[in-house]
Amino acid sequence: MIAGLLEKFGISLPPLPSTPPTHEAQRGTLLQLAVLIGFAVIMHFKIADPRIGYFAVIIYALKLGLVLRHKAAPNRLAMMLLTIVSLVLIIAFYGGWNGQRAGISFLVLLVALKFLESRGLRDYFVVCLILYFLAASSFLFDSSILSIVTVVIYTLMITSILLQLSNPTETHWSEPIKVGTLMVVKALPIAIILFLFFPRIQGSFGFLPSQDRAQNPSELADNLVAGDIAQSAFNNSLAFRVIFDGEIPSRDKLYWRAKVMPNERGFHWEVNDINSQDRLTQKPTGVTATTAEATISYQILHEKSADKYLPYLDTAKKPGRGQLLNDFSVVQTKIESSTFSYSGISSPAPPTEILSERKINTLLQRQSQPSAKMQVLLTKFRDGAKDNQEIVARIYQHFENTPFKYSLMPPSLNEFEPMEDFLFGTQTGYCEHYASAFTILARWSGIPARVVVGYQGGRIINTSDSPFLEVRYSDAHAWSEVWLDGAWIRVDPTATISPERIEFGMDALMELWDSGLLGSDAAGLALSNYLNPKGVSKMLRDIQDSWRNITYQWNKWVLNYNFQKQQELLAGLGFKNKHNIYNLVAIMFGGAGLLLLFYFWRLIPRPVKRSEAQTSYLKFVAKFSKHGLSKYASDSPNEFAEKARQAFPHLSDDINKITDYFQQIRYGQTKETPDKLLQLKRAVRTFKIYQA
Amino acid sequence: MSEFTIGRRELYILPTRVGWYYAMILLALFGIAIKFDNQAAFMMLFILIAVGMVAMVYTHNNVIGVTMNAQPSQSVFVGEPAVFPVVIKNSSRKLRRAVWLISGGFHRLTSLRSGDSELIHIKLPTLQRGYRNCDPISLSSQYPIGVFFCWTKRFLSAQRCLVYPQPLNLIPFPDDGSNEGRQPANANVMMGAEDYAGMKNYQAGDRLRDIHWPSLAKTNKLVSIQYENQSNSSVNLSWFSLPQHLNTEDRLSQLCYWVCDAEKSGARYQLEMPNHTIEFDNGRIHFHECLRVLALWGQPDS
Repeated sequence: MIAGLLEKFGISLPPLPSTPPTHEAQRGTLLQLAVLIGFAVIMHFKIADPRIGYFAVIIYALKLGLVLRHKAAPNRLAMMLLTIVSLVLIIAFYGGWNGQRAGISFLVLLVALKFLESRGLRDYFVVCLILYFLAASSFLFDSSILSIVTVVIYTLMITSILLQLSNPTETHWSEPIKVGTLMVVKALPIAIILFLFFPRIQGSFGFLPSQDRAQNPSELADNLVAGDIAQSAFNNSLAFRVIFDGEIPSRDKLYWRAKVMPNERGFHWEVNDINSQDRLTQKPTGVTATTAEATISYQILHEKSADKYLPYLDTAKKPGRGQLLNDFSVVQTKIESSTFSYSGISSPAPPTEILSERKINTLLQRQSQPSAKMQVLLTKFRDGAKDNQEIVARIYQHFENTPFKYSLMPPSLNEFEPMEDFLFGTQTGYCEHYASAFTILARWSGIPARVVVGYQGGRIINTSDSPFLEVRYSDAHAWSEVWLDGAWIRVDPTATISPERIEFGMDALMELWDSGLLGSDAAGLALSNYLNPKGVSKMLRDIQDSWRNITYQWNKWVLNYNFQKQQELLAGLGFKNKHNIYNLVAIMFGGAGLLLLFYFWRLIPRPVKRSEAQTSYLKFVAKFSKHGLSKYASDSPNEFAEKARQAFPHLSDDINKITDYFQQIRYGQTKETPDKLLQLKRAVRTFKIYQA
Repeated sequence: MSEFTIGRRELYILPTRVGWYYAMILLALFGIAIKFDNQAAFMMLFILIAVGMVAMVYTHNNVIGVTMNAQPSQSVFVGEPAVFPVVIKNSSRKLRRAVWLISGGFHRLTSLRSGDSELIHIKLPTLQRGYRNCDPISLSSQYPIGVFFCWTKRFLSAQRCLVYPQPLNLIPFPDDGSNEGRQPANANVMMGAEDYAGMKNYQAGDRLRDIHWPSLAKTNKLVSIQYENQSNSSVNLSWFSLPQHLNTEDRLSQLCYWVCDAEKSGARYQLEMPNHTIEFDNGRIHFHECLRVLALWGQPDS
């Protein structure tokens, strides 16, 4: 096909070998391939429908049996039947073709079926190629550094199987792995150049499976149901990382606002519908952004998330991503399918807002009326208070003075009067209970209030030059904001119930919870042990922190490598003009091409070097060529000596000596070679041809 | 041309069919990486592209610099495979793995260690008498991962193989009086019943056991012992004694059979052809001379 095309342009190739040689795949290779496919099928359970997984296992077991028993593939009819069943299964369990999960299940079944059907060498090659593709597409679900390592090892294995398939001669088992590794190592620099300089363009390919919209279950929901956040306390997976431009603020100041929930539905809270809310414009009416205060700027590297709301520290001033809303929460319009980063500038000062009468009313809305017992409590708060501020202080004191308990597994509350049940009954709850209760009490007391959900604290990783903060889903938190004198003041009742949570962070709290010491007298000692680890536990902590740092760098430089980073890299290399796509392409092809040329040059076979004895002997032979006597390639040293003796009988002794020395060094087994070599060299040097 | 070294201008490389599949997979992966803007998938894509490119270099350099050297081949009868010995030599430090040598319908896989050479007997079918040229020889390899294959320009070996006619016993041996002295074959010939006749320089075709080894040690030359064959029978193998209804090829086949038969029996024989007669004699040289005349009969080149 190609040859025909080339001939049209006047390039003629020599005829291809008439029959492309082929051979049988070795059984050992097939077994290795089977192990790899088995691994792929098992990995598949992690991400896709297990029922499809079981089906793949059945197909796989069938082939394994056939390979082990030296049997051929099943006939076409059976294959057709199995294929139809697989297609039906995928459509049935995923409701169609579209979606990554359906796609990956399809690939796994494809590999299993193709493997089952394989008869010849080419079939196994195709199986290997599909496996490559499968390995690469697993990154859509998990591209952490560990999964990359797994996939790279996996790729090495596939490559070594390809090596075995294309080399039918018996080799040592380690050879394909060695050569495969060598090839991948050689490929890596080229891959890095391509990665850095390949122009990142955004495109849409309709024919490819679309993004699955499944939300990460541990992400913050748009509504707050008591007990929800407590559940995420046990989810230790990462939400985002932050690198601050200056010092990291102290932990009790790290309130990451994500969602503001002003709508109450009986102890449950909800965010405003985004469409109904006014986006904060450049010159907001009723909102004055105070710019006098010191601001904190930082970079957030967010994990993959389907959440519209983005966390920002305190009052976001300049969100690097998304749009600022009236309530100073930030929403993004485009959901990223992988990790993403953005910058933020925040002010520690509370957000200010001038509320209209209508808005105050909505913020005072309360679904139920307080009971008689509650009325008594509310009157206690209100009586004799100078202003709203004092009422808020009194409510706060109430939380401080009542023996409330902090629990990660709070008991469920009475469905009809949850507020009363919590305040007077169980008195046990997690942050959302306290935030809810506080907000409702404030509203009943006539103070506009709302619940804010976000993250509090985080873990400071100090290993590198630039320390950064890791915020996990377990750091999720809820608190209240009350409107006092035109500003939204943050009140966190949890801080009085469980000061450890705020001061030392969730990790410390979890440690106490795990050891069952939360709230007990021994908590202090356990806490200090946790915060100042010694010996092995300190070492373990350091190792953990280093690993966190590595994954952070990985995410920052590899997973989050985007158009902007590429621009920065180009600028760093000194390219600043506008046609930078041409620069990129030129660097990419230039760099990769140079490397390839280098490999070509390195790998070109070089002749074996002549030994010293050989060069010496060749000098001796060259001396004769001036006198019309040359040595043919087919002449042995003895034959040449005979010719030389005939031409120059008077030099026979020398000729014999040199020939002898040479043969002894080259073919003898004596240990005195260095000595002989010297003798040979001397003899050749002094040898002169003269006519008798 | 008896030696052929593969340089850059003699070597060609193209993707195999598997290589095209590989390209398709990479294209699909590219689409996925762009669509989901997944940098890890990009990384994998670029690693696979780079592996493909490195494989190209490997495949190309696996064959470059290999030397092929055609050796003289021995004559055979029609129907027997013509054997063309070819030495392929790897005079580099590199290990060459899985190189196919292809010539006509013959192919053979070899691996050559550094400095190794391997003698490969290319076996090709013979269909007619006369000289048979070796089919063009080329090397091919798709090592290491089978996405590229390279092949060389065709090496046209100068070595020819002389193909003798197929020996066929079509008619009984004519008893027309021209063979009066002939006695039944194998009658008085016994193995070893030979008399020493003298020494002569070794000639290709002499039996190994006739070589006088002690002289080799003394004079560095091969010397064979000559024997006088005791067999006194003699046969005249004549083109003219064959019946008219046989065509040329059948006649040659029949004569070939008789020549073989006579040589086997140890008798002295003469081959009488139109305008060409090979006088009474026996031995390997005589035998091959007769067969050569038969093989090239009617061919302008003879």
